[in-house]
Amino acid sequence: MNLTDQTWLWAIPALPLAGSALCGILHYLTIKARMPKRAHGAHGHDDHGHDAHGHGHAAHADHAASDHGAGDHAHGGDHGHGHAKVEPGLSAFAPWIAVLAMAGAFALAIKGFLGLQGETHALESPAWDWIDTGTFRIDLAIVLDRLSSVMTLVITGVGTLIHIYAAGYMKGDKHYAKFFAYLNLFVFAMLMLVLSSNLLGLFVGWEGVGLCSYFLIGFWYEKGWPAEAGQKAFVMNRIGDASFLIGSFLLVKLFGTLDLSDIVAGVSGLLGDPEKKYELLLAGLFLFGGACGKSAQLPLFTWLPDAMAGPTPVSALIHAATMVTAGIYLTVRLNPVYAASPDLLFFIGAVGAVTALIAGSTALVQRDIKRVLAYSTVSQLGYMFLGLGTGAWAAAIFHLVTHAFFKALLFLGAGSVIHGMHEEQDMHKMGGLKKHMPATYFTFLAGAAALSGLPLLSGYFSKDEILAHTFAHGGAYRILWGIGIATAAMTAFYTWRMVALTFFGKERFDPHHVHPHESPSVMTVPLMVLAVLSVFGGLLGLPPVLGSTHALEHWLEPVTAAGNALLAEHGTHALDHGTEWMLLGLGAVIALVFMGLGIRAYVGGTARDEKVASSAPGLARFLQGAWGIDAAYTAYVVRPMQLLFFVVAIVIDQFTIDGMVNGAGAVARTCGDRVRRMTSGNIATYGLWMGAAAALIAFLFLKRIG
Amino acid sequence: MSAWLHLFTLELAVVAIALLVLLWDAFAPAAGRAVGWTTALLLGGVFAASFFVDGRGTVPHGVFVRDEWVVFHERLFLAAGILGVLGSIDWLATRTPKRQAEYYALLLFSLAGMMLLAGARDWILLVTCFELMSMPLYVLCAYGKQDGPASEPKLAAEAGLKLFITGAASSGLTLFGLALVVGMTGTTHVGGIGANPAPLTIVGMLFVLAGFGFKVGAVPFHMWVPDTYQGAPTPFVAFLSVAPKAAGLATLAIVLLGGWSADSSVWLPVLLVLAGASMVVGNLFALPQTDARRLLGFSGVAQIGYALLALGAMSRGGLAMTLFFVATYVFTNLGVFFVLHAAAEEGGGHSLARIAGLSRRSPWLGGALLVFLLSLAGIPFVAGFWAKLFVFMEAWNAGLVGLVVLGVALAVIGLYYYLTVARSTYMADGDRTTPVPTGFALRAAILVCLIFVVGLGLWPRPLVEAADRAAAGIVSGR
Amino acid sequence: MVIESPLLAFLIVAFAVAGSMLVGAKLLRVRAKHSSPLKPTTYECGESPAGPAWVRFHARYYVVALFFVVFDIEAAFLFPWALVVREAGTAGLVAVFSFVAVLMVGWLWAVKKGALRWQ
Repeated sequence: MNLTDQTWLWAIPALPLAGSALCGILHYLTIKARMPKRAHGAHGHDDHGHDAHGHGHAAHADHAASDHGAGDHAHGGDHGHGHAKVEPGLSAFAPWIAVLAMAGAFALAIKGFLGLQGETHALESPAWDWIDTGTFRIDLAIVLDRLSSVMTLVITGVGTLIHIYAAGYMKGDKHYAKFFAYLNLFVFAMLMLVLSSNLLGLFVGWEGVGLCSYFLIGFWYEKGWPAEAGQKAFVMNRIGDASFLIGSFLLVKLFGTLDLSDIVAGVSGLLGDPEKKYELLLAGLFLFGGACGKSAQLPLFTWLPDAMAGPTPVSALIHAATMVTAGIYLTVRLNPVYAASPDLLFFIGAVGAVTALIAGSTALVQRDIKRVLAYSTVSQLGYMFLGLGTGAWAAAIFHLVTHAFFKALLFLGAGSVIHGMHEEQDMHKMGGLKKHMPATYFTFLAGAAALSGLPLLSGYFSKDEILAHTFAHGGAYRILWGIGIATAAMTAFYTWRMVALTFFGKERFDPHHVHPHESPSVMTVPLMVLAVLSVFGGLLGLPPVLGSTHALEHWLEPVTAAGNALLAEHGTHALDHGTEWMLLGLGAVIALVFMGLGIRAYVGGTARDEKVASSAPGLARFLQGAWGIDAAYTAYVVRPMQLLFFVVAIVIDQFTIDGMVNGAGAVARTCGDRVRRMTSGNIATYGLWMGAAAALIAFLFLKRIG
Repeated sequence: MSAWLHLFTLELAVVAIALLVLLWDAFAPAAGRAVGWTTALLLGGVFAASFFVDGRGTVPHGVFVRDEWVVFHERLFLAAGILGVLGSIDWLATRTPKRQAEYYALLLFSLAGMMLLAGARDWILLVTCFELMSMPLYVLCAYGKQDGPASEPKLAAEAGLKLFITGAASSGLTLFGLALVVGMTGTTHVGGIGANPAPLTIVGMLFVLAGFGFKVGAVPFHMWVPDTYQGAPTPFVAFLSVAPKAAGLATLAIVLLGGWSADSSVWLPVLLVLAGASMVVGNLFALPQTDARRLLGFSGVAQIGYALLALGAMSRGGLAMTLFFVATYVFTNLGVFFVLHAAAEEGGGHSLARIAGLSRRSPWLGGALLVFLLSLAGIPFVAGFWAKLFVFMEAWNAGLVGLVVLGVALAVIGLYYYLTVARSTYMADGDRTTPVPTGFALRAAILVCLIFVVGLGLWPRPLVEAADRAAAGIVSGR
Repeated sequence: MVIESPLLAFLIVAFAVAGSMLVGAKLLRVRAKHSSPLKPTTYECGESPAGPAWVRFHARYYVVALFFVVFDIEAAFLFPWALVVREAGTAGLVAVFSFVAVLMVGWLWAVKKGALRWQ
């Protein structure tokens, strides 16, 4: 049953949009108020307040970890402590506006959630004929169904907490209000993505989140490399977006409509026609390509680690909890398209599993705390796609939700550590922080426990559910299951390595220069809320063997029914209770054992890392650079392209077409001289081109008329 | 007077302003910024009048038709003209204070030519208008021949000559082709070709098509574009890069979709080859460029490819989206060139390295540039997003699957080089830290472009509807 | 071989004629001695040319030429109008005088800008 007159639904995305606009105005007014100072040249210095100092080259490239310290000091010189903090002025109101907008959207999301109980499967706003010329018509409605309500709750709920945290984290930044304007704009785009009734609105959100991500990764563009990282992220996303657009066009061609619910409903009717079924497979493949871009899967995952150049709240919100899960959302939204083809499903699962393995192993050796978390995110997203590959839509969404809790928590905790350590990100320069930052420490422990899958925590149930589904499918899926189990072991290891290096053991920083301090409560309170959610989030989807119903699976039933019905045609895969208990036990044992190994290896300090680096330098480098994939792109795609375009630019453009303009170089002494040389050289080339082109067209024409 | 003269009210007004400017200059020369502002304000008056002067009708023998199509183009060209004048005021008043009037007068004559062109349905009038549009542009292109920073070669004269020679050659091609066409069909009416034309008519039309291809800068007739953009004075390039191209596309639409739609199987493959080649060459050649104007020249070639793609959809919707695309392109590209002009005026030169630090020195200028570049790249919340999306949608609906896939893929490369331009404004530049000085008129022009680009990004409906009504003047039905 | 396409035939004939001329000239020309000082001169009869052929005319001449074009165009339109002056009536009269007026504005501007001043 759908209720279709819910105009208030528009307020959910509209609130963050309004918040963004207001923050933008505040930013404008703040900058205006500062203008007189600018005239004296004060703006020439790059004073970002406390945050700009010393992020170092951490996110620049993997190999930078070794000369991290030097890079730090170089940056420290540019952005030293000496500058007075920027007066916040009017921008001090920005976080209030932004947080209020988010809290309002969250309240409305709860209202929607409460309205969805019982037989009500979706709330829908009246359609708005956004463009209607008679020949060209696009209308748009906001649809809050079971799936989008889960997404909306996560986006606005976790988003609100991250906004509150950011109010403390970004304090003192020159562009305080601008940050919240972008952040709210991002939330607007993300909500459009999950709430749109049709593909067009989804695409606007899809591209919109990429844009906001670009702005926010490059927020500290004055340092140079964040701008580069933002560009890389945006362009790689755009590759995925191109694939997404083609996939959507194929869908529109197949179904004759942009409307998502019509597409979902129409899939089963197409399967009789093999040609249409093939086109459906193609559409699914292209859409999955789009999902790979947004959700950082092979082969398009290399932008996410670099995206850590953005401020930490951005990493938590965009690059852990929301934007990167857009691909999962899309796949679940269009689940019958994928369910129609078992081969496609297996492909998705395989991509997910391999991505999880590569990223998980890469996280083992990172020294930058944010990069560990970034690769961990890629790896966990891989799990979600593995879940989707088995047709376990609810399990993937379950892991998406718990991951949003604990990964946002871990990122924010890492941000708190970085904040307290005066912008240090290298874990080798930390250690023993638990007594300096108790609140951060305990909440971080909760997040780490959930991520590593310690029994009874949220991550344990969601991850094991995916693995159980993979195991149940049998056949080639067993290989994927093996990869998943190996990755789970790595996850436990790198998580506790991170905890041990950061919080345990001896202090490896210079106590005379660095005075670690706990963050203000505006930052720690969101951490505590997220910690509670990370611990108890598993209650959303307890496995059947524990004698309860899977709440989330039941909740999503109306959305996944179409896909499940198609899957049922290929046979069902159920596990008996004994196997299920065994798998749960195996997951628990692996998590505990590798947690113990991780702590034991690193509680004493960084010696283990140095030992690995000296005994197996090749392996260390291989893992450090994410199996050399980014380097391979540089060597086999970027460089040859650059070479090609160099040839294009120099040989074709400069010498033949542009020869006389730049080639001569010198300024001609007289106009006449210049004209003479021009007519003798370049224009003749034009004539040649002209003739050739005319001949080509003549040929085409004459061929047509035979 | 005649019963149809009122159809030309706006065009006559533009010519009258041009004459007024010349007379003013003749009797009271060196008028500071007054000439420019007067021109801009009077043009603004004409623009406003276009909403009240609603004469529609046909001149005897169907030589000229004023319908929604013409009204749309008149407003588009007037808007481009106003912005073109606004963007030039400060530059002219400081660089060539004694020779301003001729610049404005020539620009206005060219403008009148474009406005007339949209309604011309007779080969003779069409070609005359085309020449009226083009000839002042040759002069304007070389206008600042001694202008520019000392560090860079003075390229304006060369750019002007290149534009003139290629333009003259293309006019020659067009005229030769028309001689064949008119000779074979025995009528000068554009719609006189009809179905199953004689082979010689087709050969004639091919020359006409090649001639127009030059004007819009489609591959393989694009060579003049980057050279001219790089050499000519930037405020003029801003105008040159948008208005004549819109006029050229309008002419193509009149000739192909309006006049020769009966036999589209002959010219459609050619049009699609032009579209695909423009997209490929424009995007790929833009990548390695280090001069901002040259890069934008190739980017313009690529954008024309997208516009031709929508034209190739051969439907009313496709034509409407061509118009929408071109209209957003007008504002976007004007904005880009104005910002570059502002940055280069002070910094000397247009190489990408020379706009470093722009975002820090003048955050609003840098922000505006970023918005324009994102619009060119087709990113949401700005006009270019809808333009690209609608173009792709219409082309896909028309079955041009391969070209749409090509275009979507190349748009990724487009994003890359546009962002590279944006990134170079972020880069540190230790030498200069003071805000870039910009005149009031230039700021106003940039602001107007910005308002349109962002406004159409949030609310494209009015322009889409206007474009759709206009397209109905050429392609009836769906 | 039968040549079917007239276009091909035309091309063959065109190339053949042009090529045979070049080849013929190469074979039949009278060879001058390389050492002869007269060889590079313009007129082999011995008359020495007065100055180079690539002289530049002063820009003033171009201005005068443009002025000529103004009146040339005017005449080109006035003659046909004069032939049908009765039929064209008042509308024709106004149109032609508007046309002349526009031309005169250009002329006036040019004169004011000093286009007719020789110095």
